[in-house]
Amino acid sequence: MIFSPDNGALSSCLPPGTEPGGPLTTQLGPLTLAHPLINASGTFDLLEAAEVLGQEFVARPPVAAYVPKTVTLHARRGNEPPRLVETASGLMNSIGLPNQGVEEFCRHDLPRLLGLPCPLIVNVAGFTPEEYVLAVERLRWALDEALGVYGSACAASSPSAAPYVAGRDEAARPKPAWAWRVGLEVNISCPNVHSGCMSIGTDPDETFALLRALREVWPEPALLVAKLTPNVTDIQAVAEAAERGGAGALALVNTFKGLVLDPVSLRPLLGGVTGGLSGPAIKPLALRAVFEVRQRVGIPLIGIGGVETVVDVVDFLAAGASVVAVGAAGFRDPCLPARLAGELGEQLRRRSLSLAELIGVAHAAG
Amino acid sequence: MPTVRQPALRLGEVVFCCEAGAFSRVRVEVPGWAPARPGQFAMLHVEGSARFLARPFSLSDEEPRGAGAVLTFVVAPVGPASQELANLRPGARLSVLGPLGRGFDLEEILAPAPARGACPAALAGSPRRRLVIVAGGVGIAPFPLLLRTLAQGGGGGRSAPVCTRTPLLLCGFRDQAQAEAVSVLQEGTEELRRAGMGSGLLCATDDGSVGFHGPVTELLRREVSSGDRVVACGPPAMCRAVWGLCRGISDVQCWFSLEARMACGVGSCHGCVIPLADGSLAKVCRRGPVLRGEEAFGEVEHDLLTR
Repeated sequence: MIFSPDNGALSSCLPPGTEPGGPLTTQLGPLTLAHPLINASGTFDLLEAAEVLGQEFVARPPVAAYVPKTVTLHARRGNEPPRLVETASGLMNSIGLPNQGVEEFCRHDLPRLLGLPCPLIVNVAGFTPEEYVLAVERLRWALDEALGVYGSACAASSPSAAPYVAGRDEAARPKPAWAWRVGLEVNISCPNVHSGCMSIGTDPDETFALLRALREVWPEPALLVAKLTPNVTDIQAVAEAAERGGAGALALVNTFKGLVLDPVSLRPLLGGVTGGLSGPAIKPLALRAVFEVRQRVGIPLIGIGGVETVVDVVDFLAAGASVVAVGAAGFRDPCLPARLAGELGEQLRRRSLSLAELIGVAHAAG
Repeated sequence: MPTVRQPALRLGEVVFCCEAGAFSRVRVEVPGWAPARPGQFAMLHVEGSARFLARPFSLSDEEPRGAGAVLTFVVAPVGPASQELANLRPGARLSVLGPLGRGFDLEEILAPAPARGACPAALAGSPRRRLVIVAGGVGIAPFPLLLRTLAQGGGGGRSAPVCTRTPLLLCGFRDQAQAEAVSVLQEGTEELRRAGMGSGLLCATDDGSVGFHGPVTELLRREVSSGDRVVACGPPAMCRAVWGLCRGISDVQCWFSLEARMACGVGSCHGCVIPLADGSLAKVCRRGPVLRGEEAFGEVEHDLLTR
């Protein structure tokens, strides 16, 4: 919690030492982050929080990049309640990706989110590869229209007049002028829907094919992040497939599939029957995933899983993540990422380490 | 210029904790607390707790102190998190996120009957509403602040004081131990008396040890009459029964304070949704916790609602 001295309220979401250009500045592909702390998709709704807790949240977000909740091609109701229950050191959820659909997202939320003073990483999911492609295409049109393209003869005119056609000469392909401020995260790891998503992310070949297809509609240099599931035997194989398919970064991990029974009826408690486990209970499991994936891929990693304290942040960075996302712990304190960024700065000073020196140090000999 | 106090995460300190029948009454001093409306809630998390998430608790009372307030929570020790809270000692610290949600809007609830015809005098002469409060078990929690707000004019100083005839309190409990919790209403009823309003109180217990032997909804059935405005908080079955009973009476409107499992309290997690009468899912934390009967229950069959 962050308290201002006068009235005990959480004050600035931007603790000292985390200003853009400061010592905690980190790079995530083309995106420059003022510090390495962001939110995990689906665990922090900046626009809702700002309505309840004040517009300070939009003016000075507590995250170095904002990742909204998953958007799908069509609007979704989500799973029936109950949708969550606390378990030992964790949270089981079965939310089921409720969202307004990509069209409404582009019309209503996107313009406001593009006004944030930090990069935006839009999270998209689908139930077939085609749905991912169509949703991402729609998103890209919205971004081209709002922020423009360069490198094409049609750049000055409306970008929708010259949609990108796959297979055209690479040099003629219009480049997104927004690549430095908007990235894409593909959710191929949600355990709470019955098709697509995790069924793609558990298969290296399908992961490769999807990323390859998405690179056609979400071209370099724009950031393309694959969010991986831990519900696999070999996460290194999926990570390598995503990298080969064109992912510019990997986010790991999504929740672990689990089950909670109602103690009285002894029937599944959650409306979606099974759910996904997050919280401190999964931290060592997530840390292992980051550590092992770091050994096999070269692209930047976003470490996610049970981050609650600065010790967790340091661990994920040392294991090889360049960026760390706060998930369920942010429910208790919406400003937690900013507080952890401030504490990370202190930790680095105490250890006389730069951020770059800390990242991946767990892999160094001795 | 003084800054406007708004909902936020703040650190509170327990200043008093006592038993109230089978429940606990926990008083927490919170510097900077933004004034709340009755029916709003706060997310509470005890410092150093083994519990991962904060829990939503209805704000039971609020007394200004310095640049903040002393808040009262009435807690039924039913699970690990509520037991932990119920057993806190003075000096214990906890994080308090709030006030959150839509509470009881007394101006709307007690708005006089609209004037009929073109005669402006009709409004002045329209009958004042009677507020009927129905509480089941720990559902008594939000009503001390509601009584205090009523005694203080009800409208938060924004307009003319709301008018009510002597409010009627109907409280249902399981047994005598629970029924002793009715003491939490004492300060509110005294404040009403000082404001010249008074109040009526009837209790019911499931085992007949205190007051009426039977469900509180039976007391409501006997007492409620056309023109009343009903506010209720309690178990889902009680709320549905209240609605089933009242929706058949002309010019009776109901507001319910509902609850759900909740992780964040601010609309981020999408965890606290409940199905509304129109089939849609709504977040209790943002759309509620207080909902109109029509929104929450709609046209549910009467037979299914009464027990």
